[in-house]
Amino acid sequence: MKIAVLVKEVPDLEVKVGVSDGGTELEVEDRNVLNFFDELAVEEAVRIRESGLAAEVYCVSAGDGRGNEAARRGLAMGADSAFLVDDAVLANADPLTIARTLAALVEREGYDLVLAGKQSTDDESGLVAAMVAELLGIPCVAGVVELELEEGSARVVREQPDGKETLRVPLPAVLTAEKGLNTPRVPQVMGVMKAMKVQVPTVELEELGVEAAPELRPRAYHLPPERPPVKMLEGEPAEAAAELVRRLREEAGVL
Amino acid sequence: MDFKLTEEQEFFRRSIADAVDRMILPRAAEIDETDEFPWDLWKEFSSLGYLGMRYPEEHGGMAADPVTCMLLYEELGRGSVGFAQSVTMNMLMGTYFLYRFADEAILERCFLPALQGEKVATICFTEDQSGSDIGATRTRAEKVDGGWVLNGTKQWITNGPLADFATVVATTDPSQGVKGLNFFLVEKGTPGFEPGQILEKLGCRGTVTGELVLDNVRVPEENLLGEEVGKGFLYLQEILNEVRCMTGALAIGIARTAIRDAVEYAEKRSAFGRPIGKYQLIRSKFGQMATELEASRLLVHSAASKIGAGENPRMEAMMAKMFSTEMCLNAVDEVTRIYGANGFAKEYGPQRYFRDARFLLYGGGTHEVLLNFMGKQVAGRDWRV
Amino acid sequence: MSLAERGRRIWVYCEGEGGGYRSASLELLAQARRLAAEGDAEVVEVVAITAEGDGDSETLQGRAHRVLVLTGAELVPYTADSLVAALSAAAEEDEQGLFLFPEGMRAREVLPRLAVRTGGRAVMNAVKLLAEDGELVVTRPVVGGRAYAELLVDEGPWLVAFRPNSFNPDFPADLETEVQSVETDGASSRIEVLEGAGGDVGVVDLAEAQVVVTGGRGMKDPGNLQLLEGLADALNGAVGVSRAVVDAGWAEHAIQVGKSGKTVSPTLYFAFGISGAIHHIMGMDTAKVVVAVNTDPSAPIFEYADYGIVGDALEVLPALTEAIGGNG
Repeated sequence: MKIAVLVKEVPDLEVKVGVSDGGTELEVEDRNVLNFFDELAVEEAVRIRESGLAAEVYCVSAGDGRGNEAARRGLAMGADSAFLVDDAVLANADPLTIARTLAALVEREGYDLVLAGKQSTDDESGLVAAMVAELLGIPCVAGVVELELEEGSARVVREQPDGKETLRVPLPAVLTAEKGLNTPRVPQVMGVMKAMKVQVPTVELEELGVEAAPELRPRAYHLPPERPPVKMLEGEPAEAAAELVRRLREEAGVL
Repeated sequence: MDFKLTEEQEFFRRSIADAVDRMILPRAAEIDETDEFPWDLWKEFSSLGYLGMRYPEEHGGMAADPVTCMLLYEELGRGSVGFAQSVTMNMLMGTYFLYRFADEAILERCFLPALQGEKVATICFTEDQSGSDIGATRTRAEKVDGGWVLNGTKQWITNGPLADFATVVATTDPSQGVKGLNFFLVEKGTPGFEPGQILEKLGCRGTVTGELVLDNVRVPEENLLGEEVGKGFLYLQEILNEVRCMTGALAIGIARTAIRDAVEYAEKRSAFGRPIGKYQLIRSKFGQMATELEASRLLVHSAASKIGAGENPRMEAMMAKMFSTEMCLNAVDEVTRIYGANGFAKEYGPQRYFRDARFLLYGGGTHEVLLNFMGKQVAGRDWRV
Repeated sequence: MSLAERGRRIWVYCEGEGGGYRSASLELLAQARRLAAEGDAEVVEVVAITAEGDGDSETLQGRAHRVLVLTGAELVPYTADSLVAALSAAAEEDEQGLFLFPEGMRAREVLPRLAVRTGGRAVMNAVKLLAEDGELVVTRPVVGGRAYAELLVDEGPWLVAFRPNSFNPDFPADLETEVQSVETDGASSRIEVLEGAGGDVGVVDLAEAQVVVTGGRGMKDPGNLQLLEGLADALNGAVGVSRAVVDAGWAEHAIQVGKSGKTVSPTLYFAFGISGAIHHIMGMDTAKVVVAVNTDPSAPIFEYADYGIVGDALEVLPALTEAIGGNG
């Protein structure tokens, strides 16, 4: 079995973010990591290989100048190989373009199962994996917390607002990982050393014959509105609680 | 002359920093509080394979260059210097002389397991009456039929009571001073070899430090770690530069963690209506600390780079150790000041960094001894500025 | 003819829930009506689209110009394969349509696939929809909510999913609604349900709740989490927890609020014994009113709160529940 893992390189959650140039440019500090939810996917893929049910795990990523860090992290965690599409055309790409790119790459390399994180921590749209599934003509189940491979299918569990549901998905399929699926390993030094030395092969967008969807360029950005300074309420718990209720009722109008 | 780390080294640094953040940092305060060796963390960290890093691949290592090793030591220092002490023992001091001189059987029995974290290693220099003045070592090694008999007491031994094996410095001829020194391997369980009193330390808690007593300890011939008798001091020079750079790297790590905490604190803590980070005198401290930290790193990396190139950067390593340690001591002092009274409270990190940092004064020679040596080199024109 | 001259149709997917429709869908209808009434963006028609039997389509009377009821086998109970097939047809009919969906599992399963099939633009996690100078503008968070992006709704079908509680649900339901039925080819689901979730129907969904009461490590003991329920019940809200609580094994991940958990957008948010790490803040900072209770006066949570109390959550919580008139 060959497992493809879709990975995205995203800004570290603590980066400094600013909006400049009259709101037309977003400035994000250049500190990137492998998307947290994708770590779960890589971990799951490597575990499946370690259990003997898969022979090969590879990571794929697409972006403009980003993806190397994510690919290396995947390798350090135990993926056998990684491929990167690095093209300036992908700078303001619509998720559909990214999906077409990754689908073409995965189609070229071959797959029996495609894993990904349920969403990225920066965009949080969860679009690409599902689009890849549609492009490949295979089913997709998002937000998996348990995964068990069977003959020709996968038995998965995912959370719903009203409980957990168990599904059977025929393979090949795209499955996206939710927190709780596993605990991603801290890479061993051997993995780190291997990842350090590898040159992740880059693939040209042209080679894949991908038609880019129209760019997604916001007309403007703005920062979240700042909250006015907090009003601290004093006194013993009972006093403070009573005062809070009064304020929520009369001042904030939410009770 | 390229001052930049390579892309690979940067990736390595990020990887070990991440491992420290996930595994070690969250446990640091607790380790200090309980002052118990964290066996579970030891096993977890060992399983990552970093302990064998600097040794060649045929020994299960990664033949990592000294600068890359410094990156590791720096991050370890950032996580927990107490834990780092035990880790570096197995990585370098406690295993090096076995790697250099021991036979196959000893390598199998002690060295390789130590690189996996399955055995705990240590090295014994210090005694009651000798620290920097290693020539005054009194632990005696007498030649006997088939081996050696060792007598003496070693102090300040990291991992002492826990160690599965120790590299012990003993003299075969006290009248020769440093020319009488040798390294001997002594394994736990050897009759007469007993842990003595455990020291309660100001800092680096969680690493067990204590006495090791040798009372007519008999070891076989192959346990002499060396090609010739009396060459111990020369052999020591092989790693002394690296040990000093390593100490400098640990110091940089502590300073970084302290300064980072202070940056966050200065953002949140207000005085007279403003976050204290906006005041000039606080800003001045940050500027100063960052500058000195940057300088320390350059000294450490430069010296380590020379070691990697096969040179013997004695002065540079001493400078790196001394400067980084002094920088760190200043930094942790300033950080506790930035915290005001909270710098005095057990609840916050700075008091721990303050206590831990002092340990770095002793490893690799006290600064008084180092300065004396360095000054002599300069005055005697053996080191030209 | 330009877009403005031709006019735009807004479609709202009405998602069934417990016999009726999700309030998140109804608030989208209200907003669509608002935009049509303002006349600024040339919204020519508001169409509610729903699967027969998914909810009570009678209740949509007056809220849209037209209600399109999709009929066909395999539409109810919902499966992604069948809804995608059914909606594709409608989406293909209106090449400049703006299709609005409430965020949730269905939107996440259906929109990406519709975008591939129609070549349309899929946008998730949106929080605002406005008309400005004849154009429609969608706003959504980026970089995990550290900034917001404004997107001009341009050519082609746009498929946009909105976070619940983004719009005022009140708008007079005073239209003459035309109801149409359209037969669709169902599609059987490739996925087999072995065991349905079908649990607590009474549980308030965190993502939709107007009031959210969360607790962190400051709750000290898993047994104390029930104090959160006391307050939540008194306010008809939902209970959430911080990542630290989930990592400690005190509660399920399903109620975690934060970047690796759920994002909530309630009117009123309580944070008890939560320090306020950035990954948590980014999961709730769009809440209208935030109340924080923590023993540490320098806890970062206070920077994101409207009201704060320095104190023990275990004492303040019951006092608050009582003051509101519930059982503490």
